[in-house]
Amino acid sequence: MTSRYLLRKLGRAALTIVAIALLNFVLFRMLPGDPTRTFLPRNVSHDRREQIRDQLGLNLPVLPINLVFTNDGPQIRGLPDSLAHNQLWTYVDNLAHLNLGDSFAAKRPVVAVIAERVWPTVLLVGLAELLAIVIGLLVGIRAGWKRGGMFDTLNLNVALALYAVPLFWLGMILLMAFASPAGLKLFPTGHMTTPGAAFSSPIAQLLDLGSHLVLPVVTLALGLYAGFALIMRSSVVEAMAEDYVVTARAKGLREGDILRRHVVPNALLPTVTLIALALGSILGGAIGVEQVFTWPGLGTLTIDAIQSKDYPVLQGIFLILTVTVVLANLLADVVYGLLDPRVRT
Amino acid sequence: MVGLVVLVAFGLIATLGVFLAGPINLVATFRQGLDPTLEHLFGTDARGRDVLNLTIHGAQISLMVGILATVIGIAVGATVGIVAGFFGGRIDGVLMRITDFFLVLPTLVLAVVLAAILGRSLVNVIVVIGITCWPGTARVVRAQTLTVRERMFVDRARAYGASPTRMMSRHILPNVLGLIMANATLTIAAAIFFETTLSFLGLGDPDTVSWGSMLEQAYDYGAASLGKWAYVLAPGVCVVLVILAFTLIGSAFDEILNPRLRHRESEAEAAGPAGVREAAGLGAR
Repeated sequence: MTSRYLLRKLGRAALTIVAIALLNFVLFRMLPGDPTRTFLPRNVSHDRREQIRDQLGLNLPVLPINLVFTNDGPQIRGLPDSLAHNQLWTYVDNLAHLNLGDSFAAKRPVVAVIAERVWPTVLLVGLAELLAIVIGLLVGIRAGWKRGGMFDTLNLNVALALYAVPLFWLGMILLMAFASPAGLKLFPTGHMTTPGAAFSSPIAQLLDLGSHLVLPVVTLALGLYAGFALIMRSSVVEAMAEDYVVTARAKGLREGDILRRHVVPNALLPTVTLIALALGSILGGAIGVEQVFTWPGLGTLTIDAIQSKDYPVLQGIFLILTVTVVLANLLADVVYGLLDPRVRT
Repeated sequence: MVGLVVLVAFGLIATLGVFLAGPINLVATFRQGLDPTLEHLFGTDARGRDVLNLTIHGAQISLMVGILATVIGIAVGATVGIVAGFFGGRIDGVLMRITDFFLVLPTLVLAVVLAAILGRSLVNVIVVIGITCWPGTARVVRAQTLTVRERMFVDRARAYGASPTRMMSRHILPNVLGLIMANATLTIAAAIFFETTLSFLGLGDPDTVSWGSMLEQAYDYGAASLGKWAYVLAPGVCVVLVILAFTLIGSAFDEILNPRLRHRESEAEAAGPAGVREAAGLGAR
């Protein structure tokens, strides 16, 4: 891979992250009204409110320029005394120190609040992605190999239908069928572990976690596998039309060998990129599903933050979710460049 | 064809809902959480309202939000795409950089944060979906504009001294309109999907009834773990049918208008990782 290709992709990703950080700054200053009203009691004194506004840096000017609104529109009146004495500088400075402020609701640093919710989500969505990749690739190979056959048609229709299904609703249906008294009571209805349970051994604890994982993982995997299956199918179909497959046939290789040695390795290329991209959606991929199964991950944290108007937490979640997506895109580009010499321009 | 039939049926339900089910049942009139009976075919909801009645009236809001949000999204996307493709050069570069930026952002996360900031109202939901679903359209329309721009009649208009605005609206737009329509049908499907999800996450308008808000209330009530089948199924099945119908029509549209696009998936591969991502529908989830 040429270093120019790599540098260009790196540069673009860095620029995107800067843009995201700025967007994050702007978005949360578009909030109407005084943010302290969302978490301070109504009857708090004016002095106390001003004191807290000072602490949060809300009384500083937003940008490092003196904007004056006149009848002719906004005008810039010279530079301020200090470049560091404004909200933008404070924001950038805090960000550089990985300080995202304190949560209004939990009264703890946002970074700590988010950190403890990351692992449940990674566990849940990671397992689901893994399952979806394995199933998706196998289904895609089978469907593409016998294009137009019954299995292929069936799979295309199922994939189409699954695209139309909101995953949180699919979760509710599975919950109703496999966890409620109305259906089979096979699995727990929610949470990550049985509340208040004491476990005799680590294995019992692991089994408990496993039974809580089944339904949300299956829901997510059902929603995710179709994407992998469709891409794998189309690249198998395409690889089968290549000259080297015709050659392999002419040499009299067995069908199974042609598929395993000539078609699948070449067809895997676009899928590898898709897998890299899927890594980016691991953190934000399950907001609705987590809510349905009360899974203590980033998704439920997002909902809680919305309901309690906990803007610092929401801001932190937005940042971490978008940045992981950008990094996954970068990874996909790099992997693509490594595997396919044609794109290294 | 199937898609069209389903869509016409839901269009009729949305417009003629009052005649079918009587006025909307907004206040509690019955006992809460009743199972389906002859009187209440789908049972009653968490606040003692008839689920069938709400499902029928919900069609109106869900379809309206989907269509209006699409109008906004398509207007923005088509304008950006045509302007970028027509002028080319630096304008194209800047516009496409911005488009790519929004294409990378996870759409649902952006929509959730925007909706949370703007507050719960129907207009906000429409605007949020509208301004998050345009980048795909912009990309496709730009590509088509680039080829239309090279045709003879555009050169002729330029020779006559037509202004850029006139050339774009009279010569380029009619030639990319088919593509825009095909894109719009697919965007409506995504918009309805988003309305449902946003409402379910508690970001919809609390005063209106849509399929998404019904599912939110069903969830809050614990309808799934209580096993209230009809309450959970009615609004959900409607969402699935409508989205499926729009997707079917959209892809049929695509094939008729653009035979070259019949191999969409392989084109996506040629477009690299971003294309693969879009083809796999990762953007929408």
